Amino acid sequence: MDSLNILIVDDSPIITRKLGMMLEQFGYQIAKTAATGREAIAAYRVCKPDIVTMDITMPDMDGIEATRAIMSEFPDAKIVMVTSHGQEKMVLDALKAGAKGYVLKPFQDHKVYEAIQKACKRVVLQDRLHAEIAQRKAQHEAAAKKQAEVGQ
Amino acid sequence: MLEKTPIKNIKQVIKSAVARTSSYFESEYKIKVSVTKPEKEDLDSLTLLDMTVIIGMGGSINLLVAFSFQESLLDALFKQMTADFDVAPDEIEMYREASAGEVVNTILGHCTIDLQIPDGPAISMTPPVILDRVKTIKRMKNAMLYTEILNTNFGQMNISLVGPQELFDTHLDYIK
Repeated sequence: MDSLNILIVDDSPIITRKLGMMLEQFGYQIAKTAATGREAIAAYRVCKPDIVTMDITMPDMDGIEATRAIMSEFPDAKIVMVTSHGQEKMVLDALKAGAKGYVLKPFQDHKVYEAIQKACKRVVLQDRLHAEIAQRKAQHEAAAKKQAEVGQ
Repeated sequence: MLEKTPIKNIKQVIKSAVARTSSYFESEYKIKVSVTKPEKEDLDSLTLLDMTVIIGMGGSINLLVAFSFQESLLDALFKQMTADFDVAPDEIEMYREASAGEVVNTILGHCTIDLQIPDGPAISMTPPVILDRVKTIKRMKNAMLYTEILNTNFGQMNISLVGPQELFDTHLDYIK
């Protein structure tokens, strides 16, 4: 199972935790989390993640500004917005800033998975999407179970 | 002199907020919502319930939106939002506030779809500010207070609009 290092940027601890759990079930690693735009830029410099999930409304610096700043310093960065902002203007602003995808909260696992795969330029076959997620979750559960058994 | 927020704006915002709350609560948490009090304009005061989340909406809206929750409803939301993981006793307060903040952030984020003006500026939103106490706000100056009372099977919540934003700080106190 291929693993991506992911930076989660969101000011809500509940979203950071839920999204982190979901991404780990996909077999990804959480490299770091950040709660503001400025923290996100600093965290990116340190951990150079494969993917960033970025909220928009945050204290200090919003997600669109942070995306712009990260993209200007790291043009190959892959950022997916995960936000409750649904208005078209905000989506366009995020894409113009360099985001590779946009997922609306409350997020569903297949939408997040698809956006991340697409940001990595991986082909997502719609009819196999749910089967692929189920397979990844099963592999994650099996790995966690095995680890627990070894630990006993 | 500050202008009053146009009533047309207020009605659009409240209509969208109520509709989005109802559909979000029903689809995500299986909580049914009904409006128990007819709309009132220009209240002299409004009373906030046990916990209130305040978000400022910018762009063409220019209002503070306050979602006020009765404890029992907040408990129900908190339980469902944290059902997938363990919450340590010293984290309960943080996650309760985060649950309330995220619920309101999601609802108002979806409202921006209804309220956007073609070719107009994006509607910005401030991060949520949490007030965890009962509070009454009196109407002063050019302030506009507007509230809608919603009832659910887990308790009451109020959606209030307070404006214009320039008159208030983020805790709904008047700026002197």
